[in-house]
Amino acid sequence: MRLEELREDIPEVPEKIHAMITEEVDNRLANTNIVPIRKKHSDRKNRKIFVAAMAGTLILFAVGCATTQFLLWSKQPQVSKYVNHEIYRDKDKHIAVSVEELVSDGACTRAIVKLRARDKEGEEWLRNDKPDNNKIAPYIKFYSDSDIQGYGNRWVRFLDEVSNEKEEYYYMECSDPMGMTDGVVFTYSLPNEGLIRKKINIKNKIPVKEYRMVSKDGEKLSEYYEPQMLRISPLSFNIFGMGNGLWFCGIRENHYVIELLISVEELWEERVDKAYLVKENGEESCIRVSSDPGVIHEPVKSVGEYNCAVASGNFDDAAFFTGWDEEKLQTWNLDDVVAIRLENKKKSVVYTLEEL
Amino acid sequence: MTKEQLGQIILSSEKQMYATAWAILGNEQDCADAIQEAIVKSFTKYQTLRDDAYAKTWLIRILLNECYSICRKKKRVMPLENLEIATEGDDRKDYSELYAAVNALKDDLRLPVLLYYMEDFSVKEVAKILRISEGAVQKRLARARKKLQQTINLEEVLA
Repeated sequence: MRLEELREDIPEVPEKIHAMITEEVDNRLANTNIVPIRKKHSDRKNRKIFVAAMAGTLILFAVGCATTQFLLWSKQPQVSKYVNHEIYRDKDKHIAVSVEELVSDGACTRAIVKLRARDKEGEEWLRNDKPDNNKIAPYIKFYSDSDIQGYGNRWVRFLDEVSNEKEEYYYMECSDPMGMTDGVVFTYSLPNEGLIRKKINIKNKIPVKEYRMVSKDGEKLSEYYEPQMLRISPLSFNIFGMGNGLWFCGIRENHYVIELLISVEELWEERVDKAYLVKENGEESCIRVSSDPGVIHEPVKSVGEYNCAVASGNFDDAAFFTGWDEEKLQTWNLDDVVAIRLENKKKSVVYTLEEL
Repeated sequence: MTKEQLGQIILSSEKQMYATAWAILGNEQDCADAIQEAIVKSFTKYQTLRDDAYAKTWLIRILLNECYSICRKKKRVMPLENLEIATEGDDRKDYSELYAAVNALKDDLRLPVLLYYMEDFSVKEVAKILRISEGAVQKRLARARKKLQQTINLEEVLA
């Protein structure tokens, strides 16, 4: 028996997955609304910097009026005034690191991090020597301070188009669907230092609106949960509600147990997999929903009177993935949204929104 | 790399993507979810890829991240009971003894074996995908071979 024989055991791709891959690729190729991230250099000189430091490892930042703009949010008037600039800096002899921009609504936090070589050795370190030198998952990390267990989605994107051999830029994002982020923990290292971990407090958060969700004639999307509250900002949305018969949470055999009471397959059928914002004139725009099949539910994510998180998503995802280009993001003022339509595999229900 | 080239790479890597996701997740729905997320992310990030020669490696790395993400979430939401997930793995029983033995290896050994022997990635590529050194890949392959030899009658192995 040879290990190469393993190739004969490669599982066949099921037809529905093959179809999904083909369709997904076709959709991406047909989508002309993928917006390239770019950097503007106008008025750099006018940037005002307000940086303050607190004692110890806690770094306090204040807000500037910078005009260096990297990302989609800078094109959104509802967001741009809440972008924090020049938030944190550190350096050694060879490398300077800085958090250039940061924006957060408490649930979704995004930042631009810059690494700049200060000399030839710094350039070499950037090119070859920095830890885990991988642009897909670089060594710098960024997570919500409220995400104690480290479960919030977070990812890093190397911004190739604005980076060069002396400067590297990274787009970083982390989430806490419960919206409790007051700061982020930023970890990085410098050539002459080990791992450095700093907490950055967030000020100037984007205001979040909360709406009661009311379906017509009390129509239900699922017997297992009832969406009741939409928390939304130009950065993200989260829907909370009441779960019913999805989970058992309690003591069993002297242990606290969180147990899913239906099969994973059923959960897959029941979960919200599409959401649409609806204007008064009936115009709809699809917003991306987390595809985590476990996202309906999660008693651990209870907020206020609600005992489950029904769905969540971040809006630049929408811009990238579902045709919300920059122009639309500007024209779609969330104040114009009067309803939200949710779909699962079985049905679709429109919920009108009543501001709380 | 253009979007179209990325599309071609994804379509031609379909089998590798599925096998990789399957090896980690072991059920079809999670595989579909991970692959779909990986496709979406790859299309948003393809401009960040500096060297097209590593496109497939990069794609599999994104997929692995998605798989791990799903594993983490599963671990979180079903910490004390394996529920349905545990039984879904039984689908693998139709595969060979060798495949079963490889699947029984721990992740740190299984993935190098899978990527190197099943999916034809070079040691260098496996190192890039798993973000470990080439030496570490070779050591893990050697350890995996040793373990497999203890489990089954593995007469010949590759260096």
